[in-house]
Amino acid sequence: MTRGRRPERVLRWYPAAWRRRYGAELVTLLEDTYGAGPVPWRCRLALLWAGTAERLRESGLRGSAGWPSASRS
Amino acid sequence: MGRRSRADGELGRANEPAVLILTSLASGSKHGYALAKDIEGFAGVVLGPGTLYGAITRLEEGGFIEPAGEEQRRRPYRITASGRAALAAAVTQMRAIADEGSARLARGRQPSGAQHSDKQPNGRQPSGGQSRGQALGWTS
Repeated sequence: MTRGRRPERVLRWYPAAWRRRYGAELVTLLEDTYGAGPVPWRCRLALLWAGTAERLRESGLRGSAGWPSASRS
Repeated sequence: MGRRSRADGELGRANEPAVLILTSLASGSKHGYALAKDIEGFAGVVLGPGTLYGAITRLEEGGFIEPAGEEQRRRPYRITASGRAALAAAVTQMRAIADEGSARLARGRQPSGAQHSDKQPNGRQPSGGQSRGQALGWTS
């Protein structure tokens, strides 16, 4: 399996605590969605953004009050 | 600045991931993939994995959904009482907007002299010897 084919790699953008809580579920969702094939670059890019948003939220630089709507993929 | 602020518990527009997820879970618990497929089916909206799990994270933090056991590596979620209340409020708000939109569209088909002006911004009637309303068949 090549580097780009491993769904776990796209989770590196997420905070460690988030990965511990949701990481396995998200990887399973990626496997259910894309099977053994590579995760498309658009999805990887969206996960990069979503993971960065989680990091910003964790650090308090991005608000978490109210409802989710900012990160779209 | 120009962005509308949102109070806690307010779900937002009908195509917001939170609304879509709660709507899906209202009929029973589902895991991530089942949620995504159900939402695509009833709303025609494809939620990517990042968006889906961002919304799930916020909804669980807010107490609107909760895990419902575990199926192999998949974790189903179910809607809580708070989630049902928030969804009901959102649906009521969306219905009010839909009703208002329908009413305004209906009124727009029957222009009266007070609500509809045939005058152009320069104060002149449209050319062609008849008013715009007459040309569209609105007035005789």
